[in-house]
Amino acid sequence: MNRCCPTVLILLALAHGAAAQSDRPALVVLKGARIHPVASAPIDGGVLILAGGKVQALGGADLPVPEGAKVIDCTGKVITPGLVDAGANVAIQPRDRNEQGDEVTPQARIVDAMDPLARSLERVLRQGVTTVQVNPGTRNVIGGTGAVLRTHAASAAEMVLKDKSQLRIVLGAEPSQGNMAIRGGNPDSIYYRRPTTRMGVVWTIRKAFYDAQAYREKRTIPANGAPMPELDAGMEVLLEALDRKLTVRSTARAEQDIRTALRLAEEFGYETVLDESAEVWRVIDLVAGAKAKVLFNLPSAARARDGAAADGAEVRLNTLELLAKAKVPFAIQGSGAGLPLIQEAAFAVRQGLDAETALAAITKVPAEVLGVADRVGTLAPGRDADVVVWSGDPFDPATRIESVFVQGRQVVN
Amino acid sequence: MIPTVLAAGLALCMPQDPGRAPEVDVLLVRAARIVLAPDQELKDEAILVRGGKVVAIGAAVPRDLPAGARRLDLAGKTVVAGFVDAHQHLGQGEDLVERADPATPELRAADAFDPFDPQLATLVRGGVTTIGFAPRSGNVIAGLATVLKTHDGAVLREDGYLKMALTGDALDVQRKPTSLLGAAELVRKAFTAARDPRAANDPAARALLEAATGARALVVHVEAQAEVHSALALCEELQLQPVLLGCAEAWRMVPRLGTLRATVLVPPLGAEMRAQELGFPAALERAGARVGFTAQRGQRRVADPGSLRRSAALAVRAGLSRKAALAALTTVPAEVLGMAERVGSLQSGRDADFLVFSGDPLDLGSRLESVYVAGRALPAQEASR
Repeated sequence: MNRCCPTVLILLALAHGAAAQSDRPALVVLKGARIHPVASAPIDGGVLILAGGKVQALGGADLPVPEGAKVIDCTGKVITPGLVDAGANVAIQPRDRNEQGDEVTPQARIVDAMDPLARSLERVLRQGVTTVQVNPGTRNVIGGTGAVLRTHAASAAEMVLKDKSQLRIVLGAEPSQGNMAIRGGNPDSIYYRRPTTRMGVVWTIRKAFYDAQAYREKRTIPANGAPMPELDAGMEVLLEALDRKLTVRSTARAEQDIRTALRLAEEFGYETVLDESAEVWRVIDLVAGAKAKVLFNLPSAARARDGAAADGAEVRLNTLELLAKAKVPFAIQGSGAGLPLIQEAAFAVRQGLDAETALAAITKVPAEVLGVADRVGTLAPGRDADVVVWSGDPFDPATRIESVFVQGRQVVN
Repeated sequence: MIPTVLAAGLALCMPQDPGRAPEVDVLLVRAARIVLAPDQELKDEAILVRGGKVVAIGAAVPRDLPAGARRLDLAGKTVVAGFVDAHQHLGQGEDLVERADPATPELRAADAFDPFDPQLATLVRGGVTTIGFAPRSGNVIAGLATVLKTHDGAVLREDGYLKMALTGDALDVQRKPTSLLGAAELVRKAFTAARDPRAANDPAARALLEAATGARALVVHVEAQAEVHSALALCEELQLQPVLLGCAEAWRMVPRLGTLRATVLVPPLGAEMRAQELGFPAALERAGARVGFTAQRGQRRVADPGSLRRSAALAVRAGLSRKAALAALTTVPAEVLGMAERVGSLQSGRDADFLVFSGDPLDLGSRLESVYVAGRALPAQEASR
């Protein structure tokens, strides 16, 4: 507890506005490394210019270095974009992952419960993760909206890269598990409620969207003398999903739940990504046909659990390779628990995934899924200067992180 | 004990001799050191008290006193204003939370006040002359605190600050809300509804609206970093100016609290605490925030008034200025209660509630020798700390 690492000191220093300004180098040039921009082909012995918190330019050794720049020699190193985790287990206390007062809480916003100084954020930052999606938990059928956070920022407000990035809907057995059907014990408990089955879970989702459609009708069409319903924050969120302004994150592990998630998305016309879809290998063609993207949880964790994921789903270690073959975009997610994200991607490479796709699965693809690809996930002029300098090939277990830059500031050294 | 205090109080209120015209109730207090306010002291000077109020200080005290005026000569002693504790539950823990509903802004702690609560005597003997009697932290929007004098239970303001809580006690796993997500939504909804003109006559809405406009303070109980952040972000969004209570794990958020010029009510410090906890008040002061101490520890335990001086002394040892430490016992909590013009300092026109110490009140070797309320001493045996 008292071992105050340098990162903490920097975080504390940056909490002062004035300190933050002076701390930001105007111009940094990383020279000589193999650069993986992810959006384009790797550059050997490249030059990466960071200015004003953004990537200014990148290119080969012939790219002129601007005058007055702080030049850091990175010969022999490898540079990638800061890693992006589309579903990290950080910054939120277990108590605050779900508002369990209701099964349907679309109005709940995970930013209301975030701890901007959480140790878990520092930990994943030191593992090279500069952007994370934090989500409501899996105890509710409709849990609310998640947010994209930077793992380092000068203030709590700047930490939020994108609020309301996704609406989480959970299928399968988990959201019904805490509920009770038969009264006994404390009869006033809020957990005597629907749903207690898969049927009930799906109906709860349908009912929520039916209610949202009815709410919209009442709010827009003047009824005969009927008063207009009050503005309802939860209903407004569901309408955003129905209008495809907000992506639904459908957490569906078992094959039956993945099928249901795609069915519901088609029925209501919302855009969805499949989350924690362990059994996706059984329905690759269906998923490819639906043009759905897949968020896959840590491959090593599945191995540790002997191939079983939540909801009894069976995990196959070649799933990512199959997805790649079927051209289904996927991201590897779930840091904060288990191994660092880069090691999970390395594990997938060991199972047969090509390194380029594995790197995209922890940078470019999650950034696209989260709607922040114009800011993070790739290295190109105008992108945020979120950069990881590795001592060698990032997928080599002997490689360590030399430094991490977030918005042009070196925050891990 | 309490009947004694009440009897003494009643006796003091009565004319000395019913047969004669009432004497002028004038008291001249002269002491080695009189702390009028945290940044203002008199050395070997006097203050004049009439009718329970301070009427003149230092050079402004007239030379000729009316006949019958009493003189109190406190050579070698230090006089300070009676301590103020802005957050007290007395012995009424169970009656101070209406758990059937997580939002009860209309409820008043005054309605759970027991004038025979033995804790009142404990507090006044310990030098705490004014308190904010507050609803407990079992509800997200808990209700209104009441401002009381401890020696006689007189209510100075029945509908004082609005108390809120985002701590584990308010987030019950068996009731809505169970999380910060639900609590934030509840608060957002409540304040938004309160600002609707159609709600103008609703007492609950009025309680919230007056907290939003600053007509009453807003005290929010938070402990963990996420709770502190949630409270600050929510208050910024809803344009509220909170006083924070607790903040046990907020030592890393000090720069932000300083930037906001926040006021933080700190529960009792103990010598066994970690350095960052003991240094928290000092760090707040350096960063530009303000500190008040409260003797209330936890929800159900009765408070030890002696803990106020202990907190102050430990905080001074960890770097808090003496001025800020005195303010944390007097003027800061008085301001939270909206009573700074009446208690917490010994300026002209304020209540003559003061404590006589054998030495510096921040030195734990000093003894609290007597407690004066409205210019009258509690019976000698009553002051015991």
